[in-house]
Amino acid sequence: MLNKSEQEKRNELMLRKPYVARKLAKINEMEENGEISPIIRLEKSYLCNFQCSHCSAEYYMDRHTDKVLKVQDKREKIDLNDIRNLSKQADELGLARFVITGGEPLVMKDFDAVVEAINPEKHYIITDTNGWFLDLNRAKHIKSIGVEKVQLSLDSFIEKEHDDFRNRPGSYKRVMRAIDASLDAGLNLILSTVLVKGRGKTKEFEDLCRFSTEKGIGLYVSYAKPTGSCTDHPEFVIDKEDADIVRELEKKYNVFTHMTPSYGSFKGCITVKGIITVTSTAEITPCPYIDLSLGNLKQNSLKEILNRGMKNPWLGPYRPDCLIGEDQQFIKFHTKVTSKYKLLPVPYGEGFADDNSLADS
Amino acid sequence: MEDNLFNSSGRFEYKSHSYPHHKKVRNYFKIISPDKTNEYFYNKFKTIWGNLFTLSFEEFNNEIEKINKRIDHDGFDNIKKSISPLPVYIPKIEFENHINLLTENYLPKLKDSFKSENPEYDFSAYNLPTQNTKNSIVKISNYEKLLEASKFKSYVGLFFPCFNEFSKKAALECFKQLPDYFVFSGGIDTTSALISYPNLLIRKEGYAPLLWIGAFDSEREDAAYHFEGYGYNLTFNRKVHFNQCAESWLFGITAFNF
Repeated sequence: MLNKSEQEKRNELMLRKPYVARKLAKINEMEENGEISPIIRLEKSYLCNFQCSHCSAEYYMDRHTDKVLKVQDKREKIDLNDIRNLSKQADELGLARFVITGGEPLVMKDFDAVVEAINPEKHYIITDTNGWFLDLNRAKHIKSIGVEKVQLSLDSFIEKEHDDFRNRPGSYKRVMRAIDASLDAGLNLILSTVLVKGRGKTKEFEDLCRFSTEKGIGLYVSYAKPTGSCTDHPEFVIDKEDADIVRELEKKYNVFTHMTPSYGSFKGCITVKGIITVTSTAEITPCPYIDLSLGNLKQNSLKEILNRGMKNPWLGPYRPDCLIGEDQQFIKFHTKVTSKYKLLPVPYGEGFADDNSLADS
Repeated sequence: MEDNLFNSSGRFEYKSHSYPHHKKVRNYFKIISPDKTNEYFYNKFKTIWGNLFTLSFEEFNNEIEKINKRIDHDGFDNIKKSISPLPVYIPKIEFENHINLLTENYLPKLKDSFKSENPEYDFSAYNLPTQNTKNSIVKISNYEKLLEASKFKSYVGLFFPCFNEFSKKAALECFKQLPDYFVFSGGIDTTSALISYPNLLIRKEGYAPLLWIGAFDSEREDAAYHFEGYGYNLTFNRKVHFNQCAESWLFGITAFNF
């Protein structure tokens, strides 16, 4: 059962977008029937105006492949037609949610066209952003073209720490501006923050939890994972104590992770079941932080790729922990496989494969 | 009796492979053996059940000893290698509906036991079965037998978490090979194991498995109830399992002096 505020939002969505609201309302029923309804994270472009210390997408960015690795990515990229096709396939499977991510979505010149290609009348559209370009005019504009929700990154409640982490002076002030702009424009809003090892115990983190709760905004906590830029910062990666601290804070504040139970429903790790990522080269990965592909949309249907993911012993079955954030054996396997590839994600068959085994990987 | 049903880790050796289970396990989701004495368990039951706990310490020990001897005699001693056996106490209680017995008698006692060990944390029950929930007891589980017996006499048992990484059907197929003094993961026996040691599913440095109640279904055959740790908290809940198996899933059995 939804709480009062969520029910009001759902009712309001039902008036504006009944088709989308009905699909969202069916998600629990789908799960009871053994069907899945993952959120689709769409990474059409990795262009970004920031260079953050913990970015999971850094190794996908041209600035990394061109300048650091000195390789040219000649793989075919997705275009608007591919996105329309993905939207249609997702809709046929009852999937209801897209997140436009990157890179920084709001620097994409074709952002509006991407929203249109996803189709806001068929899907609930969310955008990630670092908030730099999200003033009131932009917030009103993205709302007007069909975006429903913004996930705004804030990595510390202490201005200098956030700016240092983001390597961009002034970014904290822009986030604060973006919070007000999003709310004033009638967008749903959650703050997104990365939990690095030890941060859960700090006053700063609890202050952020309190601020978010008092503002009526959910705080989504993403564990630092040993991938992307964090590969060079193993000290950021959390342990179970950090995860358990957040589990306790959930009782007091409007704070949650990707594994936080919702209304008594404990979903655990959401790989494939609750989230997938579509990369700029049409590869589908099972979560934002796992750089191993389950298949390419130009070769396989979305349905085939999701079925493949659900059959994989690492990804399909229920598990209470974060696979790429906490399972050291999987982390080693992931690091070993990805280290052999300059261009990510690793193609299906080279990392994830039909014969994956938990005990033998 | 066969002496090779359980391997050296106390896990049941599934040989037919008719239903989903993991042939190899890495023990990533594991239970840490409780470092407690019979005196601890005796005092725990006495405190939690009050007047419903009627045994002297000597009687309690004797019951445990009898079960141990029976298990050893039948060649199942490997089962004790899963964890050190966890005593179970089933008080004599008259009841009409086994769901009410679980939700009104046992789960509140588990809450008391959990809170006595963990005052800062919670035991929370979600999606509880109700008297009207259509749930059927699995015939071969011996759970009906335990429920009926407990109307007339209290029982001591020993709980063993021996079906890790099994689907329910695979675990039940194995369970059929055991003598009928064993009960397959019922509601009151599994809850009683947790009453005796409420931190069984709580780990600080890793994750414990999800412990299923497999002796009765929820309103459908592929859904059931279970216990699971969440951080330092304990939960009771319902989940669809689709007769699949997962690395974190566990079913237990309890031996009694029937």
